Amino acid sequence: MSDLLSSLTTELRRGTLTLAVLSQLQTPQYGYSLVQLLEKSGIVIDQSTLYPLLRRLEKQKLVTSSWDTTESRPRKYYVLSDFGTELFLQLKQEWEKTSLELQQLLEGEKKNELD
Amino acid sequence: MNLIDLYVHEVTRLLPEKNREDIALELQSTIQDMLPDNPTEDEIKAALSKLGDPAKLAGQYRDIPRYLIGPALYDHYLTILKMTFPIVLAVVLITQVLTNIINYAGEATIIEMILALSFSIVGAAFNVGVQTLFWITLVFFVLERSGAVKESFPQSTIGAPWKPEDLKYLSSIPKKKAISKSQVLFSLIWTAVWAGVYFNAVNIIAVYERDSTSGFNYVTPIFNEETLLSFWPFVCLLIAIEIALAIFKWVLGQWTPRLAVINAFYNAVYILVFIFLASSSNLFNPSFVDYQVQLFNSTADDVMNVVNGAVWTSIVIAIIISVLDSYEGFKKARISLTKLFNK
Repeated sequence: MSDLLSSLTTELRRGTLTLAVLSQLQTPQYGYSLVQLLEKSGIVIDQSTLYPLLRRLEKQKLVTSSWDTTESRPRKYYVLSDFGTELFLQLKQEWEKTSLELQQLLEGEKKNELD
Repeated sequence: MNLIDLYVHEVTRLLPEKNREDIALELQSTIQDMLPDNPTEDEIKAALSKLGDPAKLAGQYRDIPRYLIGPALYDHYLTILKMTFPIVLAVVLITQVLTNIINYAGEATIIEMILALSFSIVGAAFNVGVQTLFWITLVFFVLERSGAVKESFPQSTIGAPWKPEDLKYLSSIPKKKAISKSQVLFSLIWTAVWAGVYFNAVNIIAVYERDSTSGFNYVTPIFNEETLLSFWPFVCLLIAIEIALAIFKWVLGQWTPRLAVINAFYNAVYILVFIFLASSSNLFNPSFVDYQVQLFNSTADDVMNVVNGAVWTSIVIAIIISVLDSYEGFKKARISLTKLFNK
């Protein structure tokens, strides 16, 4: 039973992952700083998922990357492209709409239970 | 090499050349970020286990689907396989039976021949089956990887999207009324088999004697070859009608009144040819009659009585089967979809 729950939870979260990552890339971030930012907000993301995801976003031209070699070790920074920003805002709207709808749906269910 | 280098190497080893260096560099710096300044081996191990199995990580980077045929094509793949296999196996069966009958020269016993035939059918069916599976899978695999089918439409739409109008083209034939392709193929095989037996009757239908040393020995053919083969124009006509009927059935896919009439006509022709053939006076080989006389220590008349009894029994059975078959045809032709719904 808990296996099923965890697999459903993972599935539920998977779709939101891209949105979470995009939201944090409005300012340039490198891999590990992004992990820390997300973890601070309580979003757990498998690191073996995150790094490949960043590359995929770059391939889809949503983010651009650049190597910063000025510090002690070279780091690859990712930041939203113009296209990425545009898409992020649209996706954000979609999410807000969906979560509002779902909230109403779930609250309606609660009311029914009280009746 | 230290653990980190080994880990990075293990991941990038599995990646395409052009990304390898960049990913290696990024992974190195990420792992360094995760660690304090002078990490102990345990700390390194903890960081690496957070990143997980290198093969899995490499798989994520590669982003190539880890399946041969994806959900968009899988249904079509199965449909094609289910459609192809019966046809291919039927073709194997027909060709094997035909080549065996045609090449049969009477040098082997009938049982040896059946054994050899079964072996060659199983062997050929396996061979052809594996080939079919392989090539169809390969084609679908190439289709899948070439990106010809969009990943984002998992609901199996190749070509135009589904419309309610598409329903008009579907068949709504009741199951009992329908004629399956396998039924047609089976009747074609049957035609091939009996035609093959007819033209080789002298070699195949014969008296065999059991011998303790060499198994079965061919003694004498049962039928008189000349009499039997003198019917060849009628038999060819019968074969032609049978094949035409099979093609007609294949095209129609269901029983119709016209098909039932043709089927009844075929049965009538079949019965006529059969009766003429079975009642012709010189049908049986004289040496076969002699053999029976010697075997049972009786007279030629007695033997002929038994043989004639067998002939008439088989004629009666053939008539009953033909009448039943014709009747079934008309019955099936009358079934209609609306009737089934009104019940």
